[in-house]
Amino acid sequence: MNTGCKPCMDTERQKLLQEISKVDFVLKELNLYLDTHPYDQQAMERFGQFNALKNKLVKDYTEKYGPLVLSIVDMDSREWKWATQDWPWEGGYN
Amino acid sequence: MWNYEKRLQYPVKITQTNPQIAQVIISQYGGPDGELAASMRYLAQRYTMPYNTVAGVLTDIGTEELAHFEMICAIVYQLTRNLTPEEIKESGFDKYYVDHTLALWPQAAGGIPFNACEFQSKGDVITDLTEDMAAEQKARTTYDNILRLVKDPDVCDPIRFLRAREIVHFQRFGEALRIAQENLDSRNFYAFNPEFDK
Repeated sequence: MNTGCKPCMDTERQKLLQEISKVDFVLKELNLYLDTHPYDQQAMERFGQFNALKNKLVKDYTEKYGPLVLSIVDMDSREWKWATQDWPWEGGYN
Repeated sequence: MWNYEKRLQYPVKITQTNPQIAQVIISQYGGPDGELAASMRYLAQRYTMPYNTVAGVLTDIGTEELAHFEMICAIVYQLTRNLTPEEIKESGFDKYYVDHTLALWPQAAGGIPFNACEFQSKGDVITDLTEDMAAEQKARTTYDNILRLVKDPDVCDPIRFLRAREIVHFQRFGEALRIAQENLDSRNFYAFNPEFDK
């Protein structure tokens, strides 16, 4: 049976989320690397740069589409999208 | 304490259900070398770990494993979504379905429930880190076995991502073991256990 992904997928939204995942992957890699190389200045600088980039992208995403983390929410929204939007295992945007 | 991010670490978008393969992949949720056991193992071992950097590795890899069993669950969930009773019967998924319907429950492919006996928290730095390295390789082998059985690219893609992470974690645990050994007596690493002997 073909369950299909949600119709009318917004490719811009998809692309932005993919960008966030890529940046977060770099952060995860640097995080684990730094745990065993805690004095690597270059890795620490990169972590800072990518962390700032991730926060910016998550803020953009939250404003356009909805929240990804509870520390960055759109206070102008009249809706608690954290709970009303699909959860990531549904295979829509993730 | 933890915070949730409302996205998967790597996307899971499966268009074709396949309950037969779901029964195999569920092993990486609740099976002997699955992601749940991995996460619980590392997060349990960290409390008595005497070196901060090594406790950091255990915390951060243990946290990543939470995101990994979420991916495995998403794969199983999407592979079994909207099944008909006929599809359930034909695929042999009936034995799981009778107890859990289409919900997720941590078990091995053979039906054995998740069990803390699948991992150790031994309280000895060398013992625990050696187990952790073995655990990453056992999970990697399981993913290799899954990839020999699964042909659907929608499923293989996230499985390959998870397989690659096992190799990275193995590398980091190897470094953690080296850090631990540098803190021990170089003439005899086993002279004392820094998690117990003071």
